[in-house]
Amino acid sequence: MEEVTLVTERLRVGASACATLLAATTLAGCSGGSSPVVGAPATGQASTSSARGASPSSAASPSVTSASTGSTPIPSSAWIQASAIPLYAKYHWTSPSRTAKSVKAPALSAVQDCQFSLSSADHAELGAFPAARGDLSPTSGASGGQDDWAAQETVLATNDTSSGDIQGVYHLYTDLVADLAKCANTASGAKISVAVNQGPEYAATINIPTSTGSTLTWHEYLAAPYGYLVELSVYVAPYSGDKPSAPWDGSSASSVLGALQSGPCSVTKLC
Amino acid sequence: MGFLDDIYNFLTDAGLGNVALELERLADQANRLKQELAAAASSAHWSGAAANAFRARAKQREDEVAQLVGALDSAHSAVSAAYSLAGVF
Amino acid sequence: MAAGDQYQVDIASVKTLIRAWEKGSEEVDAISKELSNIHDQLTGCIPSALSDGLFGDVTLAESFAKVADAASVARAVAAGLAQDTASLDANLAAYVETEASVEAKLKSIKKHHDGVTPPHGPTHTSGHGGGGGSPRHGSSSGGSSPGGGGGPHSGGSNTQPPGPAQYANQAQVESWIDQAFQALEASGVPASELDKAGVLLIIEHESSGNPNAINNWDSNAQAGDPSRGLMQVIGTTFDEYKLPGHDDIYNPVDNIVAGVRYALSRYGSIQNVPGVKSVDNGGSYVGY
Repeated sequence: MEEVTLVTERLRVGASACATLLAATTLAGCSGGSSPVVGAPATGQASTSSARGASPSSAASPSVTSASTGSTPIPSSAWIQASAIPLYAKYHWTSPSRTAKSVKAPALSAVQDCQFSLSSADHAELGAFPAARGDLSPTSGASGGQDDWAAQETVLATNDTSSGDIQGVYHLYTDLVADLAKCANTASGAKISVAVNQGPEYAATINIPTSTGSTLTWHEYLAAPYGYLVELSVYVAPYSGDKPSAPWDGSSASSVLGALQSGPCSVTKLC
Repeated sequence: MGFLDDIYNFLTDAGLGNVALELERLADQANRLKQELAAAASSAHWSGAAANAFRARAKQREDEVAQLVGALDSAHSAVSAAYSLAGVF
Repeated sequence: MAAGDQYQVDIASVKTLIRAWEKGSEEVDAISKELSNIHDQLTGCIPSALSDGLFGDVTLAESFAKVADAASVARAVAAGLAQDTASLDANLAAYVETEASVEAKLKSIKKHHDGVTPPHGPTHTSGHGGGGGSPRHGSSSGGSSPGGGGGPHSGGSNTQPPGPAQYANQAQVESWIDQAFQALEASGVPASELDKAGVLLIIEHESSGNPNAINNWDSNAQAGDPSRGLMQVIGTTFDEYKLPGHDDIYNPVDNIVAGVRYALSRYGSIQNVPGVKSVDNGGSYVGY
């Protein structure tokens, strides 16, 4: 599992750097001996975020839960219900809200699989907002190899109601939709069949031959509810000659899109 | 883990152990300020176009201060989380 | 000064308001300085090799960056409040001057009345209701604020406004809306979609009628495309939705044209724009 290895490597670097630093005498830039940075801690104050009671339409504080539960700045209720994801009956996907990890400038399926280049403005938008991604694996019904479907949800949230941010995220969405339409130009042999493309909702099925001789079949769902960009992709690239371990269940694109947006809309109450 | 102890030592030796508490205090202060600004704007006896323009502006400022409260809350949560892992709390 | 353009002002009350705003600006400024100080000390004292280490999902370095974010938000808010105070002072000075000249006129009328028998004509009454009441004043403008651009500067200098903040009064804003609606109808937008009250509400909340307004500090602004002008549209919105011949984002009419076309395209109607809908239902305004 990639993430654990990365963490371990970083910890090792930290430990050796620490040993080197211990040998040094002072820390440059530290005002050792000067008065502490902060004044006396506040006493007798009920200091919880909820006591401040920000109105729902003003800047919503990102809900950062304790680090030990794998917090992200995306509210947990923004994620799609696992049961609303296609092929749930077969695979019983893990819940995105529980598997989600923060990412900066997420690699969207749309961009990775159609291989288009984002404009510098869109790159900047992707990197400007809190985002998280949930990589979903089957908890049942899987054959354990490349023939199994996989799913991924990425959520990008402004976590505020500032017009600049609200428009910025929406433009990213409209650009992605425009780029997806040209998938065949950037991913050779790609065939795209659009099921929904209306307002802030888009769904398409894309087949792309891969270099190993298999075919990637990918169901893409993209939405831009107020203050959010949400992407759900459900995909499989079986071993060449194999069928996927489950046939597509024919989930209605409209109902998946509805479920994808209902979380963010319940958070903002503005859509 | 040894180096977590060292982070702990660096933070407390530099007197930075109660940064998180201070961030919380600042967030409370900003929140009180938001309410004071709102009260001041609504209690002024002033009407007309300039007053209307000001009131719209005041509302925007209150929203901006609310965003500051949010940013302070966010910083407080993040610093607390990082510190607690380092065993400062 | 148009007929009916009379205002009620309690000068002492406005002075109290100015003091509250000044105090607010000073407090937020102090907060921003403290946050910068905290951030500098934190980043100076923790060796980066350690703070970059990955502790769960929150690194120390990332959490310190949030302190820096809060510092920059505080700086922007302090600057905004200071800017408001300057504009309030200008309003107050105008009122005080007007009141002084009205008082002087009334005094000279009274003196004339007491000391001299007028040759003919009606008797003047002083009309000045004595001490503590609220004097009535006429004032022709919505109050323009001297000095300063629209706000703190971020990266791209070519996005900054061409001049200082100027808060137009409602009559002026409505005139701009009328002109924009003319252009929109000429381009084929049905008049039934052009909801003047809704657009006015959006403008009041987004920019308080200042065509040079710019939001330099939300995430999108930091990504290089701040929202600008009367309806606070970002550059990509403006470029996509402007009409030919209306391509100056700081021109109030051009800005309304693009803002309305974007709003109709995305939300279907002005009434459905989230902030308008929210206010119509008794809630607070939100961005669009």
